[in-house]
Amino acid sequence: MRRRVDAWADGRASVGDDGRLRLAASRDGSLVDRVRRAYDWITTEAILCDAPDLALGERAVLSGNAGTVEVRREGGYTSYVLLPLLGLVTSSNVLFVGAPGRGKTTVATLMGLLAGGTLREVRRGTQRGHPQLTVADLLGSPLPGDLVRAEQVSDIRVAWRGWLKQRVKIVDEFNRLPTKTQSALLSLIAEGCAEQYEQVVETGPSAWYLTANDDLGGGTFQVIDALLDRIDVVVRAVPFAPDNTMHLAARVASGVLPEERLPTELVFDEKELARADAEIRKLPVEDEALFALGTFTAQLDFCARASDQPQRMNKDTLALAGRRLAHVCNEDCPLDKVENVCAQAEKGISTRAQLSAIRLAKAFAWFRGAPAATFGDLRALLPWVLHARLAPNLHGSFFLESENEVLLADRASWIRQAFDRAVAHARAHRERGTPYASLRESTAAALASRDPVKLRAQRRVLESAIEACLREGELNALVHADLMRLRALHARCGQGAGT
Amino acid sequence: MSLEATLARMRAEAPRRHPTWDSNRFEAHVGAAHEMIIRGAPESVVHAYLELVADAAARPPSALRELLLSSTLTSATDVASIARVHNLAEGLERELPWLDGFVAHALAESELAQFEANLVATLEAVFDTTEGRWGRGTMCAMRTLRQVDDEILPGSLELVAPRVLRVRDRDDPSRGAGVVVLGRSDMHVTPLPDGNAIPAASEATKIGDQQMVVDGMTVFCDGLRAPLTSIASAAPFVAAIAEDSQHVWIASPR
Repeated sequence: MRRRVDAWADGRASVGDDGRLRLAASRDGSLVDRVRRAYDWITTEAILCDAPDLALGERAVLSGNAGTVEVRREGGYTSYVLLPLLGLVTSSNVLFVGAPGRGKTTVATLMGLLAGGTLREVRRGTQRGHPQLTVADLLGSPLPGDLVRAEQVSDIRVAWRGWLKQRVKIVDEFNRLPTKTQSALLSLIAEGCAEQYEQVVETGPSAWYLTANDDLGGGTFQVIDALLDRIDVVVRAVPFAPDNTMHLAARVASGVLPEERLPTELVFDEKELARADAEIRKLPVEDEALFALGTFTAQLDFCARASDQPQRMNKDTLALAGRRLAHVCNEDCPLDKVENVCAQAEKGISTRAQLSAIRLAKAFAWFRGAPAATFGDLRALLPWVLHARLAPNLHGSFFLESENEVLLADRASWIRQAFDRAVAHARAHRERGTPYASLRESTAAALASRDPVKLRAQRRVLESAIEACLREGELNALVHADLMRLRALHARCGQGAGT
Repeated sequence: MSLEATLARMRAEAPRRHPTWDSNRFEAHVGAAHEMIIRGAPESVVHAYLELVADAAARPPSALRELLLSSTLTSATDVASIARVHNLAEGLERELPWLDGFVAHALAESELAQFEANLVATLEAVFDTTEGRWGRGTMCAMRTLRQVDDEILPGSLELVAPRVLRVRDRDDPSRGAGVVVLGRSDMHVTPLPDGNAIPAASEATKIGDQQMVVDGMTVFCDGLRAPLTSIASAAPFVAAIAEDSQHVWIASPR
């Protein structure tokens, strides 16, 4: 016990050379506690938004003459503050959208401060997008002396811009960047490095915060699709609540901005951010959440009219042929355009988007102190993960229904209803029962036996199952997914017989 | 720097350094700083004291910190001893938070000079692993867990150390209260969250309504009713809980 107490003596308090007490900043509590404290501080002291739109738990719908309001019994969180924080601890790419003056740059700056930057560094490192911003403005310029003396390109040294090494990288109004500069930004975000004059700079682990003043990133220049697909999550600015004007008055009176008074105890260092990320990655994801994400992706990607071959019945086939969904998604397709969400989205979603959804759902569960990422975590976050990546089929009959027209203005609500619809559809299909699990096991057994007779028999069983699927009546996304799985098992039996 | 200037600086800076700074808790100790000045404490000592007050005002309340700031540290004459005692208290708070109330109670009369030695002695008593003997007489004491957790309903018993009993809630096993058993009349109920347990002793006991038979001796335990759960410790003691009761009965040598 004596040794244990002696170890405690080497703590935060010490005596400085001037004889005064030195008290180091406290690192008490877990990392997630500090993230929670940061969330509390920002929502009560800095941004003052009281819009808990990330809600979980049992649903209650309250209605009256003026309409309906949905509440969740477990309460909720403000996405405008929570998502940037989760982006910081997972080194994600965050896009703020919303009208000017709603605090987008302030939240991004607070993230830079939480990552250990000084206010001066964060402000100087913030890139402000405008149509004349060149690649050299963004990344750095060759040293003029080297340009004159160099005998080969590799002799030219580049003075890289300092912000490239900052943990938090902020690009304001990124949709005003010219296309060429956007491409350079894409390399930085996607590959974590940039190249000029055969010199390469590595950015290291980074959390990116981009801002745009409108919803779709359509500013001065069209934002390139590949850059939009790198956005892990979109954060929508919320208006200040009417009751917060007194806080604004106090802020005016004090003349002190929230960025100038972020408590130092909330700040993270590089190692702590890496540790938080590792804790988040370790968290499991519940099967139901993965099932929901998988089926939603499959249903969005499916298009029965893209090809007569099941393996190419997807929206990629249409895109490669230069066709829009509206060209084929019409009365010639027998599927119900309300029940089948394939009719709602112009394109499917990428694997990268699914990875973002899983990572952020884990981060949300970690923040809540849950032992695993749940279906609820995924459902709450998915609209914001897919916000920049999923475009509605504007000409689809779903949006021609008057009650659905409003969903074109509110993309998050549109994505959430599509997700709910897709999951409900898939759960009903699952309850009807598909023989896939048992067929996968019997196929594995046949493959393990390497017996040509058993493999032939298994192929016949699978062919019968495929025919049974086709007899279901309509070839929708769920039946198509079953067919693709059975087809893959059938192919493996064929390969097994050949070896 | 004058005391007033130091206070003004701290009142301005502390909310910036600490997200949960409570100015009322800070102001409650300003009077003690004035008294230290009157008693002739060096300025650096008063400054150190106030630094700790400002820091404590940003943290969850702790009985030991409160004890230090209200009495033990106000007699300090050098900064080094303030720093050391603060670090010891924070170490205890970090590693054995459930002992906070117990240690504060045990060290309430401790002078600053004896604080460390008394802290070590107190912890050694709690974590003493030597086996005790039952001796000639046995008595049963009853303690209520309600004093640390109003809603706990005992479900199971385990030992954290030979002299520390944990009682887990029957519906939520992560919720627990503890009893530090140092002697027949020296027992302290404390919040005691989840953590590792040690094996129980293999004491032969018979426990039933209103009584325990321990080491061949029958002990009257007022209010104890079956169905019940019990555990034996080498300290030695035998503890029992009964269904739907927030009490714990502990038989120990007289």
